[in-house]
Amino acid sequence: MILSPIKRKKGIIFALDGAIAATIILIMLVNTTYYFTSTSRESLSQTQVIKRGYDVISMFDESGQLDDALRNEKFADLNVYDFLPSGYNMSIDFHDGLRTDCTSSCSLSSGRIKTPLNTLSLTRGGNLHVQVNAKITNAPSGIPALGIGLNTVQYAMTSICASKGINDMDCTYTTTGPVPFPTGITNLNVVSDGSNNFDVNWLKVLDDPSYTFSTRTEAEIPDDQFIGSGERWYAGFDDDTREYFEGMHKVRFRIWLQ
Amino acid sequence: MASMKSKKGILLTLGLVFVSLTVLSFAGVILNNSETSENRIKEFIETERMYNLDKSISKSISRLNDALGRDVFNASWKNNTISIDALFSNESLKEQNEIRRQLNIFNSRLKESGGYINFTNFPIFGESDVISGGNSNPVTSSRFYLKNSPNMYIEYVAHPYNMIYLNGFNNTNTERINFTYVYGNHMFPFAVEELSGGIPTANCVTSGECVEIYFETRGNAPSISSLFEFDNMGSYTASNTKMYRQHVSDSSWGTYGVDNRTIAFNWLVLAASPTNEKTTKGLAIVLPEKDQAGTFFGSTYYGYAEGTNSLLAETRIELEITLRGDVLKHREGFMSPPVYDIVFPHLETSANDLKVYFEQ
Repeated sequence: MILSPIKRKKGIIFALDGAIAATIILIMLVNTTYYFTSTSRESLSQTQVIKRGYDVISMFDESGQLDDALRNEKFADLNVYDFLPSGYNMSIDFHDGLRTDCTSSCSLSSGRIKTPLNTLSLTRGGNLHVQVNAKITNAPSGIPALGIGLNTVQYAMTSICASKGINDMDCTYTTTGPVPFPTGITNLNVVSDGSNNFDVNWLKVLDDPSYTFSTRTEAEIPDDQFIGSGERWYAGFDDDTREYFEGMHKVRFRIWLQ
Repeated sequence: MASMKSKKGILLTLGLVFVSLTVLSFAGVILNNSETSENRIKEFIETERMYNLDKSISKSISRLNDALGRDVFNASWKNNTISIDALFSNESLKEQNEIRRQLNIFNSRLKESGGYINFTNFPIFGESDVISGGNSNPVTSSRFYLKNSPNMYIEYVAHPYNMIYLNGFNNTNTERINFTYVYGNHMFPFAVEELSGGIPTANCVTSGECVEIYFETRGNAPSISSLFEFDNMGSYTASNTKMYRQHVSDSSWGTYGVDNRTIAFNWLVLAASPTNEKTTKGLAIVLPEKDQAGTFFGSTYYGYAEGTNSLLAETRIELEITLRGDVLKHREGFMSPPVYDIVFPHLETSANDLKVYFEQ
């Protein structure tokens, strides 16, 4: 049977149309099936693990284990494996949880207006807030004020104080604006108002990674094993009675496949 | 013959088109399903994150407030009675401002790292959006709505205005308000006086639905009880009205025993209203001030006057509000107005391996 040239052309066009249509449909089917199956198979279960992470961090907060961690500057006996499905791991980062304790020249009497305090080795530097905790050891005169001196500039601080008695007031001071840290800075001056007696307890540079402590021991979490992260706010206190405000913190967790 | 072949060709083409369209529509359904599925997962994680941030922010603020060691404002609800215990002191605002500053600093730190929380106001002593201040002093207050009754709220206004405002409490939902003034070694209470101008009581006997205000006073002041119609106050007068005053005296203010100052009970008609309230009228209890006209509420009232409102000592006002009517069918409890937004997190997702990153 010999087909006419017109019929031959129609057949080719028809075949080409069919092939293109079949290819497009095939591509769409493969893609959608891929998305559909993978989404339902893996992602939903992984969100459950992330939710478990939120539950764990909330539980640590409610049970006072975050309080303990802040007080001891480390997570002691914190076993996240008890709460996670096997094969998963979780780390918790406590931002601004570490502090630089004042070990010498910590008393600022009315005549002594400043003391140098070494910072930890700042990882990042840049514009950062500074927090200082001090005890006021005399009957307060006015509103006891501290400041931070860096080079020749002094930075004002705001405070939250709690008082247990006329000679027992504990205040946490925070710079009202960020302090521009040059690279390589190792110490700051804590400057008193000159009319009150302060006993400086500690100092920390907020948001610098050197002041974060973590449960993580791995250097890096492999990207293809990482599942998710979440965070929580936490208002920290310095003693068991929760009377002395210590600072606001971010507590973050990460979950990954082992 | 040719026509037969032509028909077969058309049928074949139509069949192929039909099959293709069917397969295509299935593909569309599957694609839509997979996208919807991923969106649901995103929403699930976003909700979880916002819930946790919200809860932890509330808890942190509550802890901060507790740390100051002062119960500035306590409200509880048991059966049909709301109990309010409010502390007024010259220092309370300073302390609450410290909390605000700490939150501001924390918030600015978050912003520098790609922040996700935007404070439109503050949960404790934010700037009042219904009561405007006189002169240079902003009115800072804490507002508590009755759950499921957005037209009823209690607003505690801090120093220097020193006020409790009860919005939306009326004959229909309130049976009785017990007022107690708790004082220390200063600002001693004297008699309670109903003020001229008329407290509407005309329908109290017939309807039996008036609010009873009971002044439980201490020291030299006799306790009194008074009935009046809250509902009629609005029609009786559209502007602020002085209702009662409790005389308060202290030798630091002049001759002891003379009416140096007053705890004032004003009927307050607000000019502005938050979004959902159905009424802008209510009872405002202000302490302790001089009788004067001023700009705080916009007309004659007992209330704040610049420079004369320093309290000589900490004082408390206790209120017990007995409710009735439909409001008792609601769930007991209070809620604050929304004061911050949490921005949706920066999510990185892919269908095969959903990862949730939040920017540092």
